[in-house]
Amino acid sequence: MEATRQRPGGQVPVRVRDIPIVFLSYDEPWAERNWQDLVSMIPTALRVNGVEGLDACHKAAAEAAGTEWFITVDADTTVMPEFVELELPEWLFEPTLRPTWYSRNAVNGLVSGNGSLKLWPAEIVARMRSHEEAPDGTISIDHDIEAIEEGRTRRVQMPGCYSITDPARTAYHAFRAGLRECVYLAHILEAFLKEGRQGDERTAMLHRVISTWCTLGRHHPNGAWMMLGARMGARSVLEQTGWDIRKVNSYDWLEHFWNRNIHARFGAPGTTGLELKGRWNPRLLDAELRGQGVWLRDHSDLDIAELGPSESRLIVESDVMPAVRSANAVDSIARGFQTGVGVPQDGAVARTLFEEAAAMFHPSAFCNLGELWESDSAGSPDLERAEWFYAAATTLGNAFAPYRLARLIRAQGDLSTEEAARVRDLEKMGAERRGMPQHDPAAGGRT
Amino acid sequence: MTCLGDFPACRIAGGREDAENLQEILVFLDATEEDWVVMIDEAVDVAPRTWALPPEPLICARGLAQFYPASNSLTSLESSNGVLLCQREQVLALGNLPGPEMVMPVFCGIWDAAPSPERAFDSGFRHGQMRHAEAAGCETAMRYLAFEASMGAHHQFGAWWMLGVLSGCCDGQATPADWETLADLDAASLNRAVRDLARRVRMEGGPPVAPLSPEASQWALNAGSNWPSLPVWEGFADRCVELGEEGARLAAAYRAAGRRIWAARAPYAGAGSEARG
Repeated sequence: MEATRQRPGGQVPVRVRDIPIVFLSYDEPWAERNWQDLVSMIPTALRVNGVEGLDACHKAAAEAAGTEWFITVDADTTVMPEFVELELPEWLFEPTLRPTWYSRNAVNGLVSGNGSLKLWPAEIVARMRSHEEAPDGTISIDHDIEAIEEGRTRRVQMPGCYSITDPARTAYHAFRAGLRECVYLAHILEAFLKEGRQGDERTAMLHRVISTWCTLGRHHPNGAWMMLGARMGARSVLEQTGWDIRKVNSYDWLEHFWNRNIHARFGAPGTTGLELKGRWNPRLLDAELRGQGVWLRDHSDLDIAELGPSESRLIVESDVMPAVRSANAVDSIARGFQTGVGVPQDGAVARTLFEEAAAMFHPSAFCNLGELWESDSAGSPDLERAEWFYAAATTLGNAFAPYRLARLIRAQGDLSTEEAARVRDLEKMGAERRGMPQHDPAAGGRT
Repeated sequence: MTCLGDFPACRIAGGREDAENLQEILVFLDATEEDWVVMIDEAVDVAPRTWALPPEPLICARGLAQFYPASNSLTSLESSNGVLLCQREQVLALGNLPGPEMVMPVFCGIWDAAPSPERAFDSGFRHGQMRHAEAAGCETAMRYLAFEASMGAHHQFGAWWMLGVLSGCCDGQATPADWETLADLDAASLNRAVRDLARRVRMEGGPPVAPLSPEASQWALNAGSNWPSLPVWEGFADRCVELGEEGARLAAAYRAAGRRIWAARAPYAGAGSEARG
C-alpha cells in the first residue's frame, strides 16, 4: 500500500478542534456528566454509547465521524481545554500512524496510555481486528496497532499530557480498571521475560508501571479497589494457571466475576450488584490486598509496597514519577520516515524525531542522525557532522556506528597511519558488537 | 573530543570555596594542556555511562560551562552536585570554577546526600533553604519540597536529612552551626523532632510534608525517575533558544523529549540551576 499524506480539510495549520472528537461510553454512571463537560468545550463532539466490544465501539466511532481522521475520548477521561487548541504537525496525518496523548490517572498519578486521547486514521480502524474481533488463537487485549501491518503501522506517543482519567468513581469500575490494565501489562511483561529481555528498558518500565498500579491508591475513596484489581490482574497472568486472559475483554464476564467473587465476599449486607455505595468490609479488603501483595512479592520481581493513605497521597501529588515513554519508539518512527517504510520518506521529519530521541541519549538515534548527515536527506550532506554523530553513537554503545564511522573515514582516502589504525579498531569493535553490514537487517544483512 | 570520558577529569575534595581545594584545582589545570576539563563534585558516584555522553558541539562552540547534575541518593530528584565540563582558561581567569551556564537534562550519577549524620543534616538544611526560596509562589517547587522533606526513612542517616530539610524551610530552627547540640539526639528524639517539625510546617501553610515509613520511602525512591525533572529540561531548552537558529532546533528537541518523559507542562524554573555547594 502506498501511504499518502492528506490533511483534514486541507487546512493549515490543523488544530485538534478541526478534527471530529468522539466520546466513547458504555456503562459508566458518570458518563453523562463527562459528556456534558466535553460538549460544553467542543459543541461539535460526537458520542458512541453502549456499543459492546472495544473493536466494535471504535468502528462505530469511525462511522459516526465519517472522516479520514477522528479523535476518541474515553468516558473516564476529562480533556483539558488546551488540547482543543493544540496544533498538530503535518507528519501525524499518515494512515499507518495512531498518535496518542497520554493521560494522567487521577488515582495513582501515572501518565500512560491508559485512558489516553487518540487520533485514529479511519483506515486503521477499518483494518483493525482487535479484542472481541481478534483472529482465533490470538490474544488481543489492546488495539494491537503494530500487529495490523507489522513494521508499518505504529502507535506514536505525543509529548505532553492534556487529560485526566478517573476510572475509579465506583468500587466496581475501579476494580475493573485495575484488573484489565494489569492483565494487559503483565501479559506484555510475561512475553518480554520469555524473550529473555530481563534487563531492557521497556521491561524495567513495565515493572515500574505495574508496581505503581498495585501500590498507590489508598488515599482515594475507591483506590484500594483499583489496587486489588491490579494485584489480582497481575497475579492471574504471572501465576500461569492457564486462565484465558481474553475474558477481560468482556464486560459481562467482568460483571459476573465481580458479583460472584468480589461483591459476595467484601460487600456489606444490603448492597446489591455493582453498587457498594462505600459500604464494604475495609479490614477484609485490606487483608486480601496484603495477601495478594505477598504473593506478588514472593513470585515476581515486582516492587509492591503497602503504603498508608497519607503516604500514597504525598507520592501521587508530588508528581515525581515520570511518564511511560520509550526513546526507542521515537527512534523507530523516525526510522520509518528516514527509510520510507509505512510512511513517506521525509528526511526533515526523520531528523526532527531523531533529534528528540537523541535528546534522551538513545544510541541508535545518534547513528541514524549520522546516516542522515552522510546522505543528503537532511538537507545537504555534512560529513563532519555525520562523523561526530557516528563517533557519539559509537561511544554510547550502538552496534552499527563503528562500522559506519570506519566506512566514512575510509571514504576520505589517503589515510594516515593513525587514521588507518583507527579504522581497523572501529571495524574490530563493529564485529564484536555484531554491527557489521551482514548483521544489519536495515542494510539487507543477515541477523 | 567526542565524549566526557575524553576530557581530563579532576575530583574536587570539598566545597568549591575551600582555598585548599582551589589550590589543588590549579595544580591539576597546570598539569593539563586540554582546552576543556571535567570537575567532579565530592560524594558524586559517577555512572560509567556518563563518560560516554557526547557534549553538544553547539554549546561547546559557545564556550559554555555544562553542568550534569547527580541525582540525590535519598530522593532521586536532581541535586546541586554533579559533574562540570568547563574551559580550562575560564577557570584560570576566574580563579575559581564557573557557575553552571547550562544545566544538562541528564544525570551523571548519584550524589550521596547522607554519608554521615552531620553531612545529611547539613545538605538537607541547605537544600531546604534553597527549595523553600524557590517554592514562594511556585506550586511545583512546593510539591518537590514536600516530597524531599518526607523522604529518607529507608536510610541509616535519612532522618537527619529530613530534619535538615525541614529546619531549612522554617525560621528559628537549628542550623548546621548548632550541630554539636543536635548530635546528642537519640533515634527516638530525632524521629519525634522530624514529626513535630513536619506538623508545624503543615500547620503554618508550608508544603504538605508527610514523613514516609522506611518501606514507603524506599518504594518511592525506586519508583523515581532516572531523568532530571521537567524544570531542568525546560530550563535547558530556554537557554538553548538564546544560541541562535541551531540552538532553537536543539531547544525544540529537548523540550519535546522532556515532555515525553514528564508529559506535563508545569511552568517552573529553578531546580538544578542553583549555585553548586
